[in-house]
Amino acid sequence: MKKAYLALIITVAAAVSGCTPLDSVNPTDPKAGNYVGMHYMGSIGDFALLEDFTVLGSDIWCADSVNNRIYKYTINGDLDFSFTGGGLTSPTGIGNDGTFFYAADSDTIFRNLKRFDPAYVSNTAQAQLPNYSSIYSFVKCAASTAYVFAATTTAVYRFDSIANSLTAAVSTYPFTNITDVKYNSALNEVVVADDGANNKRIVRLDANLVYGGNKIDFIEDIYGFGIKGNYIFVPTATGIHQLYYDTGVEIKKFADYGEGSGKIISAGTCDTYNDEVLVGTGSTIKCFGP
Amino acid sequence: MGHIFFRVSLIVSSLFIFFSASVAVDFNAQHRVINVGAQDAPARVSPTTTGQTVQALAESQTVPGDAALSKAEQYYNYGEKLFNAGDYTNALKYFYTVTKMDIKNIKAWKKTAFCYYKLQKHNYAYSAFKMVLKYDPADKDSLEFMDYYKTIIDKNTKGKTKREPFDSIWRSAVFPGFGQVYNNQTAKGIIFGSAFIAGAGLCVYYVSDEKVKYDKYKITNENQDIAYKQAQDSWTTALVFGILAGAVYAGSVADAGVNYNCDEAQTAGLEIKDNAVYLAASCRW
Repeated sequence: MKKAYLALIITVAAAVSGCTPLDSVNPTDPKAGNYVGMHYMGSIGDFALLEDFTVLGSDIWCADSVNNRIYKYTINGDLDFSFTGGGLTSPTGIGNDGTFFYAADSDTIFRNLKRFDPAYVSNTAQAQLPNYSSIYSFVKCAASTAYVFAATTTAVYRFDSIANSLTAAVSTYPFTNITDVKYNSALNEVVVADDGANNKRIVRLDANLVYGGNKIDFIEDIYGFGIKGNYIFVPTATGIHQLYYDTGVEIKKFADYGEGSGKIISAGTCDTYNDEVLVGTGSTIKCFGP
Repeated sequence: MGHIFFRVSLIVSSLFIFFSASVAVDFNAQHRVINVGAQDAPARVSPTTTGQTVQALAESQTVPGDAALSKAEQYYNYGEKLFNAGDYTNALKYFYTVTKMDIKNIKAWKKTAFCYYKLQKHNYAYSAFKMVLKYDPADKDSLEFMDYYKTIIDKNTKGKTKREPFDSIWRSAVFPGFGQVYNNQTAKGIIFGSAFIAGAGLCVYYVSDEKVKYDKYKITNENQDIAYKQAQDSWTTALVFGILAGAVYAGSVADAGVNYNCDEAQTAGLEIKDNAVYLAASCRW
């Protein structure tokens, strides 16, 4: 009888241990065979209205136009610092040159464009750039080490950040509704997202803001994009499109599958950190990684 | 009843619960009550001492009594005194001698039967009661005792009916425990049936749960690891219960086949002991 018990136990144990696991078939599961290559990793921050954000080092600087506040989050999602005031009443754009970050304020009175030193934990701007900000209504901004590229809804302006002056550069491309501007240091280009009623496109300009014929057309709203090497990531209402930067050919689309927070259902701001793609939804920043 | 002979003490005298997985052990041994062989009962009328021996013994004794009475009556009366005094062995000798003198003496046959009953020699008592009924088929006491003995005989006869293993196996194959119940192993059958229902039910539940969770995993776009693990856990649990249910099923079929010819297990019944009838409850594995 003991042998019978033993045989039964061995049979059960063998059946349990020999059972095959369930198939991983979710395309957003990194362990699945049909994995699309990117998956939702989590979200950062809780905003009233996130207008723009920029990744500087391993920190994320965010502009909330409703709370009138600039937030600094670590890439791990921890809130490190935030401030209000400092001459900003409704920040809508934020960019960086690798050392400083710049905030554009669309307030109709102040229209500030200010540079901040991230190492200086204060709401005191290091500089106000430029004095023309009371003339132009800047909504977005980007920066290289030498210039600040500030955009209204219809044009991009280049300022010499050292001389604090407008250096005779204004885009001539017929933008109708600029929603984002970024500087691509690898190619020394200024890239602009234009979300016009009839023309939705991403346009590449050179450092002098001259259009060289490179643009990517979209049929969906585009509020932002991120650049990583020869890839450009564009969040739209149908997911995040990954395209080749140089040719504009779409490689794939992700964050468009299933149910849950890992789905992008509307256009949003965007930036990259290492291999991760960060998408602002207005209330938070969603992180996607390989 | 003429005789308050059937002192019924309805007490639960024993509750034997044997739970054992061994099928080779004969647990029925201690539950046997009376085994009266009806077919050879008449041959057993003659006690261990022959009629002549008892008669000679009786006649050799001085029998106090009325000299006007016949010898048979004197023997009967003296036997009655011994019977009332509880000396059943000697009383039997006198009563039996009377039956030898007058084979149609119903009273003597009845007293002989009672003595055998008291001495727990039920085979002889049975035969003696048959003799009573032979000459007085309407004798109430004898009829009651015969009914009682026939019940026991029937049970033993029925219990020894040879069965085929397949009769039990297919019943357990239809539903685990059914074969055990058919084998008169009710308690075991209930346990097998309950275990199978529980195992199969939980298996079905977890299969359903796994399906829901796996579907959820397949469409989720966040926390895939957690969703997958939940589905996998449910699947593993379903598998375990499925295997258990299968093992119970297989065990039930095998057990039914092994114990196909099991004696009847009574859960309650009458048992004669020390001149009293007890209610004996038993539950055998």
